[in-house]
Amino acid sequence: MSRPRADTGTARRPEPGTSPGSPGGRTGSAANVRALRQSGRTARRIAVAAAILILALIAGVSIGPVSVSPGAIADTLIAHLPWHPAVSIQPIDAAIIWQIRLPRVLLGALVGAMLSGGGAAYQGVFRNPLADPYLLGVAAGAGLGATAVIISGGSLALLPVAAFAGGVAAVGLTYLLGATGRRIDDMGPRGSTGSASILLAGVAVASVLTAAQTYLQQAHTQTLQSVYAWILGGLSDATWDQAWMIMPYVLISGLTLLAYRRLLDVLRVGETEAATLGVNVPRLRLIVVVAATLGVAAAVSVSGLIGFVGIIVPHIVRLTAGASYRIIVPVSMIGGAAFLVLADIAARTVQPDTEVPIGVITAAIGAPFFLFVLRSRRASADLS
Amino acid sequence: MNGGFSGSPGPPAQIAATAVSVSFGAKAALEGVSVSVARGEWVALIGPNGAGKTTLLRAIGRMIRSSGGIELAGHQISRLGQRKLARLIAYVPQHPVLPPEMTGLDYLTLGRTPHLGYFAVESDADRRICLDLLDRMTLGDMADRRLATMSGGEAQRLVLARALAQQAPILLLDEPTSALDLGRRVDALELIDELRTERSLTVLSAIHDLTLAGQFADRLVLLHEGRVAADGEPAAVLRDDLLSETFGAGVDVFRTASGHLAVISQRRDSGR
Repeated sequence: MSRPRADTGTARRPEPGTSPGSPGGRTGSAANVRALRQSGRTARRIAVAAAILILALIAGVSIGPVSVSPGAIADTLIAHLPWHPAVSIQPIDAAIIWQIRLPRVLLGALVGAMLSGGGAAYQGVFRNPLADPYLLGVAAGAGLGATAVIISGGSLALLPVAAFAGGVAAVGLTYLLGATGRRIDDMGPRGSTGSASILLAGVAVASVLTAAQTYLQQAHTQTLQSVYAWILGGLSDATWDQAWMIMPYVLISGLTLLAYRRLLDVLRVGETEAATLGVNVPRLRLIVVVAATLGVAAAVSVSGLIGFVGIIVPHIVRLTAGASYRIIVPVSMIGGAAFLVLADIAARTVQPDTEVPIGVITAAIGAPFFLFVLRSRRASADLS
Repeated sequence: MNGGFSGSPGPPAQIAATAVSVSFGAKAALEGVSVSVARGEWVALIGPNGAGKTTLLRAIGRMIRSSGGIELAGHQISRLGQRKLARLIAYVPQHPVLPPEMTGLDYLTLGRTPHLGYFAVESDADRRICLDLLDRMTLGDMADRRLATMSGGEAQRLVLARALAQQAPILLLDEPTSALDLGRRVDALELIDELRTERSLTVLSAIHDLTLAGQFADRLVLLHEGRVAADGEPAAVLRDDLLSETFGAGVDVFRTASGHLAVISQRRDSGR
């Protein structure tokens, strides 16, 4: 990311801390100018991501078996404003836009934002580039909850509730097992605050819950198809109700992660050094994990287990927009929303008569794109 | 710009460690170590590998659990919140983590963390403190450079600058010059000494090079197998009999023409 170096030597200001004879030279003026540009840079990257998202949303609503024009989308939106000017739209277009496409596109955006934001947060808080939003057992717990509802023939309205509860309970269990008691990584002279134990507990909890889920699934072959369809994930049943249902969690999760983005940057120097800089690392980790888990569990509850988004999008952001979590957290959320909306367009248009599971699309498009970005950028990229 | 802690007189000992013990599993790393450092004093911890220098620094900075009592500027460390602790004490690790993609200024502003609210971002005042420090440390052009591109000496000064950005009255340094050549090493220690005088900082550092320790520190604490073997002015601690026994190798201590103590090791088979 080379920028033109427009060093303006005129912005020099008095430097009271520098005594005349000290070795401290007066080379800071250019730095000052750049420092002032820094916040503008972040804002610009967020604006670029937002523009991509808006284009993706428009494309998501207009593309489909019946294409609708952006003008019709605008008219439909206006028609739902409280005191709107008179607009004329085809009722069939209005119905397609408002009842089918918009909820699906919005739900996709919310799910993508939560999966990517959660993945970025987990990568930051565990300083682990392989961390994805399902790391601590959300997916396994949600899968078990959903499977239990499906095989018991319970109301499908219970499905998101059970998935959400299962996901949150799994992470709670992971945390309980991993963050308390004697920690395996607490015994050395270098000191530690225990994130390795939590990760390992997450692996163990996820394995046990997945085993239980697989057992239930195999023991009830008559519902195998619907369990499998849920696990693959998708947005084909999206409704406004679902979007409103997960909205509170999306807001809580998103705002909390945004609020903690600077502390995630502090964690880049490691837990011990972050602690010497005044960060209460266990508390930070708990808050970030709770926030990310609420958002991811809410997303999973309405969309099933969509893979790759939560690990690939934050890395693409890191490689293209910057390695600071002040950029990674907001841009991952916006970019993840755009990515999932675009992937969903592909999922419902690649094959004319049936939908491709969206997880297939995210992997098939996302992974090669990620490799392309990885190879076209510096090999020394900071993945921590 | 000043250190911000020049006012209140406070008790004489800025660091008071009393009977501090630390064990890792069954292995005792420190056993009943007592060290005190007065305001504005520079005390160097010396001793062979594994003597407990780093462990003592980490116990004082509350990075590891210890038994015994540690007071910083009159506060029991066990009663301090994490932010309050970081406003009292700044730590320069021996092997700092340097995220390669982070810029110099971003790295430096991490030092302002204990002064910021949990959701706050740096103000212009914070940024000014950091930019002044970059100038002071002759790192002005490092603001926008990635850490990956910095030399060992530049990175080392940047880490020190981050610690100073904390504006804490106490500085803990763990082998601050181990990565540097002879000239840079002296430069770095001179800089620390200047800053100590300028900001009335209290410095406790672990340092391998005994000659440099004797030249820069007011007082030396010799650690051996987790205990204090000697504590006093350089001339009282840098004695060939004491060092030979502690380090397990023959050592000669000379007074140079310029009046400094020089510590030189003997060859094993020199047959003296």
